[in-house]
This record gives sequence, C-alpha cells and structure tokens, in this order.
Amino acid sequence: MVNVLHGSDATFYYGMDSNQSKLVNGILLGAIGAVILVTLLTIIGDLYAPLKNLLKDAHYHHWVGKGVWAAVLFVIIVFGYILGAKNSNKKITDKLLKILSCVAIISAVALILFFVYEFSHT
Amino acid sequence: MIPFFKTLLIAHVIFGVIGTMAIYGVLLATLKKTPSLKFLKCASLVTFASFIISWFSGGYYYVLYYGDMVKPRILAGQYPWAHKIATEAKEHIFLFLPFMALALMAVLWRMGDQLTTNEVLRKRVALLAGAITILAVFVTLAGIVISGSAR
Repeated sequence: MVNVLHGSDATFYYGMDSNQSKLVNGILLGAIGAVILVTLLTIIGDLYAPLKNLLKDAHYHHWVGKGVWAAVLFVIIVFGYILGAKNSNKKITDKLLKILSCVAIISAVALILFFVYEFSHT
Repeated sequence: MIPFFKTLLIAHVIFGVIGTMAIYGVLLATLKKTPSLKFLKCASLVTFASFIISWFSGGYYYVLYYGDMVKPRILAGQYPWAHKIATEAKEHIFLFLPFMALALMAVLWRMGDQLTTNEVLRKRVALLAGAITILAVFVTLAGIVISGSAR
C-alpha cells in the first residue's frame, strides 16, 4: 500500500532532514539561475551589441560565453546556498522543482518569440 | 566537411537523441505510482551524460564549423528563418538542458527513495521531466529543420 503524506504528517516529514536536502535545493536554485541568465544574456545581448561583443571577445564566441557564465553562476549559487541557507527542507524542493519547470518553459517560449519578432522586423 | 567535424555532428545527434529517449523514460516512469528507483537513477544519469556529450560535441562543431560554412549557405538560401529562428532558439535553449538534467538527477539520486511515499515530490519530478522532454523534443525538431534547410 502506498502512503501519501498529508497535513501534520507531511510537515513533520518535510522538516526532518534539512541538511540532506541542501545540496539538492542548491542545485535546483542554481539551475533556475542559469536558465534565467542565459535567457537575459541572449535577449539583452541581441538588443545591445556591446554585451554580445564583450562575450565574444572574452570567450571566442558569444554562445561559449553564455555557457561559461551560466556554469559560473550555477556553481556560485550551489555553494552559496549550501553554505548560507539556514532553513532547507523538502517543501522547498517541491517548490523549486515547480519553479524550475515553469521558468525553463517560459524562458524557451520567450526566446522563440524574441527570435520570431527579430526575424520579422529585419 | 572533414571527418572530424562529421564525427562531432554525428555524436551531437546520436547523444542528443539518446538523452531525449532517456528523459522520456524518466517521465513515463514517474507517472507510475510506484516507479522503479533503479531505472530512474540509471535513466537520469544517461540523460545528463548524453546531454553533456551532445553539448560539447555540438558546441565544438557549431563554433568552429557551422558559423563559417553552414550559416552563410542557409542565410543565402530559400529558408533564412531556419537559422534566424530555429538555430538561434535551439542553440540557446540547448544551454538549459544540462543544468535541468543535473537538477533532476540530483533529486532522484538523493531523494528518489521517497517517490513512492511522497506523491507531491513524484508529481513535481514528473513535471520537471516533462519540461525537459518538451525542450529536448523542440531542440531535436529544430535540428532536423536546420539540416534540411542546409541541403
């Protein structure tokens, strides 16, 4: 029989091991940060040429620059969360899973619409 | 095209498809009430590793070959939107996938034993697997469009 946690049982269960879920929550938060950064660098870089040129000059290609900075931000957020988060539990994991899924889909749609708009106006 | 770039392109496609199949497997498994944890751990690892290999092989090909040899041909052809929309969207959305796959793998490897008892967690994992599947299928379809327009 499958047990599903509700109410006070779930609260007790969720709060049981905050240290165990710190790494997972840090990685989820880092992934959210990386997705948002890639989206912002892409859209702002296409609208403001100096930013795209800066990424290109520093990393040979603007695409490489976006990947490198997304990875750097990811690592900073993961370690920052592990070292700095005072309260981390599975309830936060559930929320971060939902946020990451939504942010990724919204960012992807935003990028597609942005490139369609750019193409139709050039 | 020299054999080196051909190999990179083939590796990019094959590992991209393997990763997409593996994440679809994770999605289907997490929709069950009692998913096999062994399968989920294995499939999430295959997804992450495949996306990383596809990322590096495709990235190397894209930066050193596509921009000079393929992009001008597409822009001068009948379907310039294939680069301006499909390639541009694909190359950036692809950057999301390794981070998302790593996050999914971390959840399954560290908390996977709770999937059968915590329905909320199982549904959220299925949601993330679904989001990755949608983006991976989009990237795959965009790749087909780009290949077709370059011929």
